[in-house]
Amino acid sequence: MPNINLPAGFSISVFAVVPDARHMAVARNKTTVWIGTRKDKVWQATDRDMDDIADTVEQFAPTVKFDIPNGVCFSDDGHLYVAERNRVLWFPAAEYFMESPDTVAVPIIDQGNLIPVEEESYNHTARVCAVNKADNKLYVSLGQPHNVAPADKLDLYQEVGIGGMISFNRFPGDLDRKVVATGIRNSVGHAFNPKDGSLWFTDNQVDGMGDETPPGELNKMPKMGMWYGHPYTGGGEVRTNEYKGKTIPKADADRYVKPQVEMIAHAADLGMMFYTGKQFPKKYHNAIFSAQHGSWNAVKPRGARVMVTYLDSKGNASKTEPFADGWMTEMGTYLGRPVDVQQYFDGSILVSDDKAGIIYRIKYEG
Amino acid sequence: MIKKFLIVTSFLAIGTVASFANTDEKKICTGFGKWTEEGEYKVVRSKCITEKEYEASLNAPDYLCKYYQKSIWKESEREYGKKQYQYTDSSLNKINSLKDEGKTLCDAGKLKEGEAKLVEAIKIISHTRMN
Repeated sequence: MPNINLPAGFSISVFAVVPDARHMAVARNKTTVWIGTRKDKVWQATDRDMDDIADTVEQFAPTVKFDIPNGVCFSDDGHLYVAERNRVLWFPAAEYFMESPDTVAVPIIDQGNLIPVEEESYNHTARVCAVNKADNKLYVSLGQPHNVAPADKLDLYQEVGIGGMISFNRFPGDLDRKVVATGIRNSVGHAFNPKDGSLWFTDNQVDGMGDETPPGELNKMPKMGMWYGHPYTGGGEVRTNEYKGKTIPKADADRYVKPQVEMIAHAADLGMMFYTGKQFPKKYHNAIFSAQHGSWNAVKPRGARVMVTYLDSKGNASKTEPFADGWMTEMGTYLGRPVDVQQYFDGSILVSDDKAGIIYRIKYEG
Repeated sequence: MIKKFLIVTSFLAIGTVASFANTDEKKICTGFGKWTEEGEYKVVRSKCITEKEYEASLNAPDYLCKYYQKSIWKESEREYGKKQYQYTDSSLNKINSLKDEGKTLCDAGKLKEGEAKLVEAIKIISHTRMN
C-alpha cells in the first residue's frame, strides 16, 4: 500500500483488487461496485459481509464479449449501462441479475453505431457515461482519435459528436440521439452538478507542444450545445500549432466556453464526481473530486493524485487543490495511477487505479 | 534595537539561502519500478536531474528544438505504427525528411527555422492517430 498523503482525519485502505480497474459505478441497494476496463472485461466487486472490503471480485456478464468497456454508470432506478469503444449496452436490474452467469444485456446503441467504424482507434476510445436526471437521458463522451483533429474530419465529427458528447434515450425505442457538446479533445470524466444540473467534464489536452503546456481542463457546460475549443486550442486558450493563425468559425466561437479550471499540463485529468455525502467535513460538500492519471511522456512526472475543486455560491470553480497524493515515488516511478473517483454508499469515496489494479476507499473519521 | 534588527535579518538571510539551496537540490526523477513477488517495490531504472537543471532546460534557447525532436517517435517508423496510426509510406517519408531537415537547422544554430520544420513533422503526426 503506497503511503498516501491525505488531509487530517482521512484514511485510505484497499477496498478491492481489480485488474485494469478504470471507471466505476456504485450500486444502489447492494455494496457492489462495477468496474470497467480498457480491455474486454467488466468486474463487479461486492462487500458481502459489510466490513468495507470486497469479499468477491467477479467478472460481470461473462457471456458478453466486450470491447474496451471503460464506461460504466448506474441509474437511480437500478439500470446499469456500459459504454464501449463502439457500442452502448443496457443491463436492466443489474443488481438482481449480477449473480447470474447469463445476465440480460440489451444494446441501446448497436455495435458500430456509436461512431463510424472507420473512426475506431485504440487511443481516445475510453468512453464514460452518466445519466442526466433533468431529461432522464444517457450522456456519453466521444474522444476524437487524433492528437489534433484534422480539418477534413471536422464536419463529420460535429455531426456525430466525436470530440464531444452525445445524449440519447436510455431505453430501447426512439434513440433521439443529440450532440450536446463539441470542441472537446478527449474527455474521460463527466458528472452533473446535483445542485444546478450543470454538466462538468475533464479534458485531456494536446501533446507535442512542450513539457509544461498546454494546460489540462475542468469544464462546465451551463447549457447544452457549447463548444470547447479543440482543435483550434490545445488546452486552455493556448492555440495549437496545427491551427495557429486560422480563424475560428463564428458558429463555434459564439458557443465557446473557456475552462473553469486549468490543471497542470499533461497530468491526464480523468474521472470525476460531485460529493453528495455527509461523511466528509462540510467544506467538501458538493465539491468535485477528480483523478489525475499522470503523464505518459513528460520529463517531470506529475499527476497520480486526486484533486478537489470547490465551487462558489454561483456554482463556479473557486479553488482547486490536491486531496490525495503519494502514488509516485521520489525516484519518479508510479506506484499507482488513479483513474476514477466515485462515492460509496456510506459517503466514503472510492479511487480506482489501473496500474496497481486496486480500488482504494478513502474515509473520514475526524 | 539594532541587535534585534540584526538577529531578525540574519534569520531571514539564513532562511532565504536555505530555501534556495533546497530548491537547487530538489530532484526531478523519471523512472520505472515494479512490485516483486515478495511484495517489495523495486526501482528498475531512474534518472534524476535537479529542479534548477529542469528549469534551465525549459528556458534554454534550443528547448523546443530538442523537445520537438523527442516528440517525433521512432514508433512511427515501425510496422505496427503504420497500421495503428494509419501512416502511409508517403507521410512517413515526409515526417523523416522534415525531422532530418529540422535537426540539421537546429544543430547549425538556426533554431526558429529548425523548430518550424519539426512542427511541420509533428502536424502530420498529430493528424494521424498516434497520440
